[in-house]
Amino acid sequence: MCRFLCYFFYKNFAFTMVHFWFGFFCGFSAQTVYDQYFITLYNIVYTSLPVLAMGIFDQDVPEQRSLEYPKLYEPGQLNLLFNKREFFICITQGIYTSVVLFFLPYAILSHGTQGTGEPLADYQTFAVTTATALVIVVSVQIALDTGYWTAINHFFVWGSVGSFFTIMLAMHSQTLFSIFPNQFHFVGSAQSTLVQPLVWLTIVLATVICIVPVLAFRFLKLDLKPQLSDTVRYTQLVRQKTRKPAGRCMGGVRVGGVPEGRLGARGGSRRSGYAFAHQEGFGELITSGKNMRLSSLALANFASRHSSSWIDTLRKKKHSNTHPPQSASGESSPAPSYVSGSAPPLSNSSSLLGGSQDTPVEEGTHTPPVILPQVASGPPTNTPPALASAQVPSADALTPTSVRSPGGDSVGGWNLSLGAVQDALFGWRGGAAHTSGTSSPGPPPVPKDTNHTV
Amino acid sequence: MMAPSYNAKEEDGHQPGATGHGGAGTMTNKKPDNTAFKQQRLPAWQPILTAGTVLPAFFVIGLIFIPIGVGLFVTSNNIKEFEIDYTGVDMSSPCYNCSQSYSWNNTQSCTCSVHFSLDQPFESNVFMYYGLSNFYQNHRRYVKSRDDSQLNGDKTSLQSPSKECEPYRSSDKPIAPCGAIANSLFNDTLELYYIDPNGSRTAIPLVKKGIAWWTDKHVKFRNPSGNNNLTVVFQGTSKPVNWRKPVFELDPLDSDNNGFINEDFIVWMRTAALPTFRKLYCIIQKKPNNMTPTLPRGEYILEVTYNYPVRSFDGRKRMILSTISWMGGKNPFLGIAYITVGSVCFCLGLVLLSIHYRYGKRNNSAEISS
Repeated sequence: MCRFLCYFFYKNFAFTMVHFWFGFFCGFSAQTVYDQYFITLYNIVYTSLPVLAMGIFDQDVPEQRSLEYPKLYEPGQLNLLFNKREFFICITQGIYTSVVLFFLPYAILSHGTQGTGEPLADYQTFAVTTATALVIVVSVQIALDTGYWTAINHFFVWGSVGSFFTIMLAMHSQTLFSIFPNQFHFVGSAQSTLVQPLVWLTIVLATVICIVPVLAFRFLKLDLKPQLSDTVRYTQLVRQKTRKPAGRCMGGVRVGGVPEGRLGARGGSRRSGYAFAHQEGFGELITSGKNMRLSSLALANFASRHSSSWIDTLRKKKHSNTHPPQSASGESSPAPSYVSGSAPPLSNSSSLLGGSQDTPVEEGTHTPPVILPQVASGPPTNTPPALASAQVPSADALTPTSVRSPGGDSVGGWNLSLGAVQDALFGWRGGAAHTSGTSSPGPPPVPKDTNHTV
Repeated sequence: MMAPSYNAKEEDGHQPGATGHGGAGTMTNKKPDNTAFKQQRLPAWQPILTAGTVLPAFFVIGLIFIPIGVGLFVTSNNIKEFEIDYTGVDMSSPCYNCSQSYSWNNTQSCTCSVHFSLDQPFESNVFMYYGLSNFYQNHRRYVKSRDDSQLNGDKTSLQSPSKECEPYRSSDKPIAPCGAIANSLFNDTLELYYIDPNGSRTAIPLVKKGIAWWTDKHVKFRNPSGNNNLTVVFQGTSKPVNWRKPVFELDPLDSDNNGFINEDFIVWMRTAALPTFRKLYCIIQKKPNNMTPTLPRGEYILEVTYNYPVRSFDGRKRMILSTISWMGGKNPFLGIAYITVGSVCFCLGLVLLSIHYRYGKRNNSAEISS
């Protein structure tokens, strides 16, 4: 959202300040540099859709990453992404672009001539050159700003540039002039201007002069002071590259065996930052645990149906922080288990998100359904009956231990209720040899996960 | 904080926590569909600015721009251009008397002769321009002051020009062509003579056709139809206020260059973007045998019929002779700009490379330390 706003200010400043500079050379008579139809269509047709697509579809980190790293939300809360300083930088970039876009054609075309000798310094050639340079520069800028290219982004960006040329050539055509001679003064301009090599040399030079500083600044920022979201994206990229061979094994149930990290792995619309942090948020509410008791049931329900990735990761984090590595069934220490464990649950969840056909496979590898009637029959009293009833229709097993982990971390109430649930569900689970103890929260999902990840 | 919303996303049809389990059957589901588009799961390409992409790009840009700049600079240097100001500002200038004694009602036009010499011969087609300075053809009121449908030959507009042309719209009869642009048509006449080493003057043939844009001459500007005799066609209209002759006498000998389609008139009506501009006046064709240069080295005389007053607004008039290449006339700025930008890019690439190696935080692992 911050990038969307910044780009909006940038493109409008680049567009409008050209007239300010031109004022010095036209006697301050408010003569426009561009054709009036270009002015009308610029904000509506030529530049609106790409930035809209960027605002809608942009994801800087995939959803799983943004759940793993809550610290990603920090810049949004601290209002780091769009404040006065950022605004000022956007404006400065817009003004710099407008300077380049006006003075470069001014310097080149004032002495330029066509190959046939006619001078290029006439008003209509100047207008077409500046307009074309502007559209190309702001399109390159939005291409740089868009960090997440879906098919719609591609279509909007290239389509906008294409529509600019199409509409301009149509308006400068003889057909429209013959119908409305007084409205379409620019007959023949585009056709005559855009075949001049000098004009294209000007446009390319203007693009490079406008974009190279931006590229340099962004690269330096990424290199020297990467923000957490940049680091997360980079590690995601590295992971995709390393996970490609592993992903193919999982690809059996997936359509086409596409490397799972690249396509369809991004679920949800998590954003790692907000444009404006309006209020202090729900930190107090959450840490007091008031909203956790009831939702733990839903959580258990949820966890029973789908994979435990999110819960797993939270639990592992909690265990790596608070509990010594417990355990039992030959699992590794929490830190590496975090690594290895987090990757497979990610793949599980991604497979689930990518298609529901995976769900039966997943659930089949969980604890067998035989547990469930026992759940219904003999739970401890402090397990609400709703849980059992909800468990029955879910028809598959859960990773109750996965339910446990966040509770242990955060608050007592959570822990209590989860502990109860866990006791209830865990008591008769011995068969799969997942857990070592019934009441101690150990990290069994590691072996369990390894069961179904290979 | 995470549980309810994660729940909401993953479970279609399941309500979060408290509300869901009891009366789930009667709740309407307002959740968006679980399609890739609505759940933002579209396949996408996520490029990242890494050193491996940015730094080679800088070097490539630098390596491409520098040769282009050198080529442009060399080409521009090979183009020959000559410019002479004939406004007559100084007392010593040949056209001083003409510039001082200007009056609109002069029936006798003032002529002056300017001597100059060319150091180098001009090969191939030579283009003669007239240039004006401090003349704001890009002023908004000036630019609006025209009637394109009248210039396109529309009979209705011929007799009732557009309101934009005010105050040059009518003077007891409608003015054709109306407007301030047409009214200020440049009407100096320039002639060129070559002085042989033995002293005799040779007139150099000047071609006054082929100087306007094709679309202008054949599409935008059309004479009103109805009669080949333009005097008849333009009956009922008057000439612009500051013209000496009416529009149908601009070139009576050539009907293809008379009336609205007169090429000098068309060239003038194509307004310039900047206050200092030049417009094509005529072409000096190259000699057919290709052996002698079009304009050999030597002495020349420019005969000026000084009709156009510019002293009142401190303007300047000049005559420019220039040869042409594929990139147009002499334009050293472009070559220098390309060389500069190319070298700046290349140096920037080197600087970024050194910064990256020295200070860059490399993170090749799949882990995040924090």
